Amino acid sequence: MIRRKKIYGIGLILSVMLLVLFSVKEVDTFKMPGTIMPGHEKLACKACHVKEKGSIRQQLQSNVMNWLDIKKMDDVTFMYKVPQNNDCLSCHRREDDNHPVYRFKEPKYKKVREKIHPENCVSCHNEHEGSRVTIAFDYCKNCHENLVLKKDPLKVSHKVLIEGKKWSTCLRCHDFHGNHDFKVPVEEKNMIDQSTLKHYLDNGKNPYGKILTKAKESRDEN
Amino acid sequence: MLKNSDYDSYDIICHCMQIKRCEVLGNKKQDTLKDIMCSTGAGTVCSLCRPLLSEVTGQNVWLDAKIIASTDVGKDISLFTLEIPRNMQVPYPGQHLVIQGYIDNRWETRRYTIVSYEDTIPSIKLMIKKEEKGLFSTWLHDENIVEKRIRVSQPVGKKKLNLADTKPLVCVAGGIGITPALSFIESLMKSEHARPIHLLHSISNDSQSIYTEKLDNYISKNPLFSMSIHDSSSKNRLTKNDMKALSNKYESCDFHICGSSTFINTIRKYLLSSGRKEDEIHSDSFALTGKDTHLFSLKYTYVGIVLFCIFLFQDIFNIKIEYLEILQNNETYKIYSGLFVLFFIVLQFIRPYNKASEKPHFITNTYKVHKFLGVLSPLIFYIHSTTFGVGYLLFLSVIYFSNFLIGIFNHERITNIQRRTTYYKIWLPTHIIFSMLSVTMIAIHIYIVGAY
Repeated sequence: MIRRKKIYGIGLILSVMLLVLFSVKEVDTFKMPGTIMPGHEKLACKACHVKEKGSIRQQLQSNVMNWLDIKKMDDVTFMYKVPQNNDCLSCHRREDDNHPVYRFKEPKYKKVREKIHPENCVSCHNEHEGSRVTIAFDYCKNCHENLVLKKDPLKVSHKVLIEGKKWSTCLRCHDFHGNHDFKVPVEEKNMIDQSTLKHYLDNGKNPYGKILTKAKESRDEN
Repeated sequence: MLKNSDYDSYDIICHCMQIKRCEVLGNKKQDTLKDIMCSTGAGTVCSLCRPLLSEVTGQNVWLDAKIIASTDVGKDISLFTLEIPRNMQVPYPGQHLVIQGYIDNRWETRRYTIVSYEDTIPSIKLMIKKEEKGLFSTWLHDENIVEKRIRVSQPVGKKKLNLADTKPLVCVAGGIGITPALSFIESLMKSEHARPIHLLHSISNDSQSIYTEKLDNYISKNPLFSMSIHDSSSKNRLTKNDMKALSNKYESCDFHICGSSTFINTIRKYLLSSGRKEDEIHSDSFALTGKDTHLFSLKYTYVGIVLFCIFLFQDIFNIKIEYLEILQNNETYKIYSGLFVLFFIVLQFIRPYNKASEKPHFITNTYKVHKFLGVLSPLIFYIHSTTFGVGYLLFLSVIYFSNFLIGIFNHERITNIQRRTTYYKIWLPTHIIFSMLSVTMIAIHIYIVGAY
């Protein structure tokens, strides 16, 4: 019995050492649940994970009160806020975005919001999965399924591509956010190669050309 | 007939596995010794408690005995003569006796080597040292030996050494570990066998030099018997060179070592390094060498290994069930499946809780359940996550699965009792420490998930 107590004592000491180790700042990157997105490697955790307001006690109290429906209190998370669009846009905001997130908040996109939530940056760019884009290729169909062009510049028309459900070809011609010095091709031979595109959307080299507006190095504190 | 009042039900019946008597009594399956061992784990390590477990099954294991003489043979060491019933089996040299003494309205159990056996008035002799804080040995050494109520088991232990063999037997004994050697010598003196015996008795002080007159007498009567004493108080302890010299002196022989486990392991190591083979070295570590029962069902091990290999395979080769992957991306599912894993871990801790608590939890049959759930660990993990993960999650997975593997490769699969006892002493602390580290990592995981 005394021997078992000693063993449990050793186990306890090792456990405490482990807890102390995990509280050290230098191991913060070790706490990530997955690989960081390309381009974010040099960022500290606090660049996206902003501390929640209030003390831990207040945060716990608020959450418990709301969960038990005892008293309506501020909707706060525990310790750190869930990264929101503002956190992303603090570094990635651009004026001439082809698909800015606020666009998707328009009433006509209500059904699309219910389906794929394009109004949240993380719906397409979920962090800690090691990829730039984490949504499937065919998300364009959710808004552009009924696209009709008055004057189609393509030899193989958009109508044919849409009828054939060739949604994987969209990004081979179109730069989604428009942040690259990229001319939209009109011939198939000038399209970005499918595998190159897939590789880029994972974590590969950029096939769209020069970046027009680089992301900020640190959060916009304003 | 076992009366409950003879034992305290919260007494530990199996010290190795820390199983209380009430856990065994509360177990549904107790028809045979094997049933009890399988379902509770009692008796699976050193096997000292097996007569007590057999008693629980209703077997009449005890024979009434009486101490008829007690002779001092050294400081705090006495030779007790016990009169035994005629239906006791004749012991082999080196066998042991489990003896119970009725002390303070309870039966206390101990085990000793039988030094000699007389069949005219059936009696056996036990050499017992009075330990400083020993309850049983102190009680035995007290006066009024005739009034002491004792009972004994049938002799236990395998017949290890054949005294009819002609190759020499070299006994290396540490302190009171001389008793098996005395048993061999006494048997040889009474028989017509001509097996040479050499006894090397290692003592740490002069008072441990016992039975000297009788041994001198044997030496003078029988040229095949020789003896040497190594006093570590004046010289150093027995060294590798000492054992090498002894080994070289007896080219072909059997060695028998008896003493503390440290003594046995050290001498065994020295003999092996001097070129002796394993089958030439026997030992007696004051653990019963009863019938070896290979208990741990291999099906547990196989199922566990198969589940683990499947998990490894699907993660390495990225063979995923799409529906499950989608489900595991759902935050609500992650929380509830995580709680399920936590619940499983809590269930696994019921067993150590029972071991530690004064009065065990109402769930007494924890051993089988603990093993069964342990084997399912990879499946339970798979429900929550199909991957080992990266960073701290990878570390958590490694700790979790290491603990699982430690669990399935436990002591029960080892048939040799000596090795099983040694393995258990390493296995148990490792399993406990890894279990605690698993819990700590899970707590860290819950914090990180909750905070970020």
